[in-house]
Amino acid sequence: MSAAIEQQVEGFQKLFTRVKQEVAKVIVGYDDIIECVIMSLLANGHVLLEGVPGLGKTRLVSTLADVVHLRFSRIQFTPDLMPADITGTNIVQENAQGEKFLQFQQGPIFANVVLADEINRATPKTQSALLEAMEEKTVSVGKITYKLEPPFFVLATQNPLEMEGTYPLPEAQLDRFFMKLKVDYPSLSSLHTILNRTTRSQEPVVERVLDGPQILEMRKTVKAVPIARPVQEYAIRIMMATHPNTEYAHALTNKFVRHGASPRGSQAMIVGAKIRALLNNRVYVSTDDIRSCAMGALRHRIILSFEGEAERVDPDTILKGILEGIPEPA
Amino acid sequence: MSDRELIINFLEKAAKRARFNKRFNDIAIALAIAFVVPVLFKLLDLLFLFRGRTVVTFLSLWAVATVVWIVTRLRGKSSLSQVAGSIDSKEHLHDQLKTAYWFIQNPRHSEWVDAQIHHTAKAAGKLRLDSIFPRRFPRATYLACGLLFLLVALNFIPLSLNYNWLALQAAPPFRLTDAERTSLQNALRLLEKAKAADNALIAEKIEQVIENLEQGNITLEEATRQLEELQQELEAGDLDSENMANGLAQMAAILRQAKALQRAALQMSRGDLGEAANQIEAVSEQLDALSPGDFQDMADKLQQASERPRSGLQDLAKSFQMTGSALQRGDKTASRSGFDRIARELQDLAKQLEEQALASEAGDELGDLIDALQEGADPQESAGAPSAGKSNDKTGKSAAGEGEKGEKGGEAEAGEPPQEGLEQGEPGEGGEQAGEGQAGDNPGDTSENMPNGKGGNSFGGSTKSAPLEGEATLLEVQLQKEALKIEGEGGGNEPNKDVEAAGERERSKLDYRNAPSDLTPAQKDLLSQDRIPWESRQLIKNYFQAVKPTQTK
Repeated sequence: MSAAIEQQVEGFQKLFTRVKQEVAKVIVGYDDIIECVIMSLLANGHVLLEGVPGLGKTRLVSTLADVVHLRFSRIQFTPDLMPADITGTNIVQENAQGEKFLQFQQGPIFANVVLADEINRATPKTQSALLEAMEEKTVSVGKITYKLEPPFFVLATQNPLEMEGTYPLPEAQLDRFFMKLKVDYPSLSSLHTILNRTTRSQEPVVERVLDGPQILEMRKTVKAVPIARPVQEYAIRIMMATHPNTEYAHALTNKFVRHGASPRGSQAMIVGAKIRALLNNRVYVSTDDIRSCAMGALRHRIILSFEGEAERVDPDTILKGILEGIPEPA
Repeated sequence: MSDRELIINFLEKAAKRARFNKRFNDIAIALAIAFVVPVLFKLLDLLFLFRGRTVVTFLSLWAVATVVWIVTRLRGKSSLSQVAGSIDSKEHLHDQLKTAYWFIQNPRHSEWVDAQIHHTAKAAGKLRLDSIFPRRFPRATYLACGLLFLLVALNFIPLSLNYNWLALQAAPPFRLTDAERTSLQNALRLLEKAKAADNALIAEKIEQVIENLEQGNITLEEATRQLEELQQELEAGDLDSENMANGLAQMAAILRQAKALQRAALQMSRGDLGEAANQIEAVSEQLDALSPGDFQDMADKLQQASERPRSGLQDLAKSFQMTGSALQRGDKTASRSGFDRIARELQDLAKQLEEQALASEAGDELGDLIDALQEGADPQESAGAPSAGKSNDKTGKSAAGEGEKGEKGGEAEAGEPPQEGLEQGEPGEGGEQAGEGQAGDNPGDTSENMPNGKGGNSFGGSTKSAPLEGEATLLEVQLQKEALKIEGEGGGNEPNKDVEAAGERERSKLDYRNAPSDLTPAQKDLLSQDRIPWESRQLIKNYFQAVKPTQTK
């Protein structure tokens, strides 16, 4: 390994670890979630956090925003939230001469890290306001398209329990999330640590260890990691195995899946795998890396069929079956 | 050497080692699986005794199939990429070698790729092929060796029915059971005793048939058929013997009326021709003491006895005639000479009958052997005990033997052991013969005159043939009676009288056994067999003894 690359990899690992450590000062017991959230940030993706209330999802996002030293905004999604409340709108202004003109008032989307809290409480129309921003990193209002400042990172949370007054995210919206992470209850020891930290007078303070340019540099490093075609094919095979009634479809897919993952799924797997490879001090992607990212990258991209919904099949179960069923490339 | 060359060299070495190990392992596994087949076949051979041809065919097919299978398994050659993947998996390299190999095969200008290859080359330098692909015997080798040892050991198990394939031994196509072999040996021994040239030839033929059967040159059906022909040949003389015995009995009955010849006649009637010859010689010696009336009496009876001799008794009848003539003339010298000749003829006849009896007994033994073989060929159709004979090629031969079994079984039942027949044939049991006896040729026959029992044959003839009971039934009369009986059905009692009358009118003087016939001796023998079941014979005999008219002396 050449010295420059070695240094690059080392720097990547160092920064990643520092961010993780800082976030972990506040968020306890969710190392994997933290790692995946940082990975998503470095992969130029967005994260959907799903978990019951009170598990620290919002805290995680705000802590991350503090650590990475980026502009942070929070949008509380409610049923009456309008798209303009997110993107911003043109408002009538008057200049010194008394002439009136329309001036664009930026919405909360114009930030580096956007927390879309309880995103499923807003109507699909409002949810869709994020579509362009998340994929194109632009916001179109009227005839003008505004470019969002990189890095742009959306972290959305949703509550899986309350179905009343919620609107499930449209498939197109879901597909734009790099990963969907499930936040479960912390363990007993983690809860002790959480209580110790949150019920005392001094709360932990995080340092800003990463800024926007560093993030962009790290993103470049990630993209430079090479991947061999057989490994890439392995990722594609996994993605295609989620497509029902196709040549590569898994038996579980044919039974319980209506629509499989889009190519964004395989993109997410590979980019995530590259970050994993760098974190493991490797300059190439292995199938292990692909496997480790497959769940987070594909679980929200699988649309269950009526049978799957009726039998309450977890997409993770289908993905496990697929990962076990697909042989590693020779 | 560049990093790329280093990796390729390493992978090529690893591929060679992996290929060798895989082939060794594949061969061992293939042999371990393949050896199960001959071991199982050998175990089956211990139970079912496969013939040599079957063993050779099976083992040849097995060997060819095993070789083809092994060659097929060995034909595949793993690529360097597969070898790299295998090493990655064994050494937990996270696809490092595989990725490096792919990058080498698909070069691209990238520092990252070069770094990956360089890193992989360093890692490959630290790897040891002996630890990745160790040279050791696969476990399947031990299993294959174990099975081979078992196969060899099975060949040396000291069982009477175990054939050592390694010594190119295998079960004969057919194997006689102990009982069958005993029957065969008895038959051959009896034929040896009989010593007649024909019998020796038949014995040779029997041995040849059995040898052919055991070597699989002929089928069981063919062997049975040939043995049946030989049996028929052996028993062909039975009818002649019986005819002669019958004729001797008739002669004895006539001679008995001559006082001087009574003793000799008694012995003749008992079948003891040797003693009869002695008695004749005694008469010859005592000629001087006899009166002219005795001479005349003897001459008359000898002349009478010489009339219409049965087949085989012509010489004796001629001697009777010559002697009778000499006695008639009063020529004592010629008479003595005649009596001596009669004695010699009687002794010759005794010897002839004895040989025929032995041949007949041998025929019975051969019949037992045939029955046993037939039962062995199809035990389901046989009403008796399970198969005595054992066919090694069970499917074909058993199936082919179907159809004839019922018939053959019936024959076997109808036949009776000669010993039993002789036991029954004791003097004094022939009373019913007198009752049934026909007045034609032997008007004076009584139970005393006819000591031969029913079913027995005191001359040693085969008891399998019809026993002699009084006069022979006349075939023509029987047919006439049957015809009339049919006409008279439904006509009350009157037709019965007609039947009797017609029977008396049409009574033939021709013995049906002397009537010209196209039947072979064996067929005749078959026709004359007594069909009364063995277990019912005593009952029937008792019945007729009970209902017979009281004899008045």
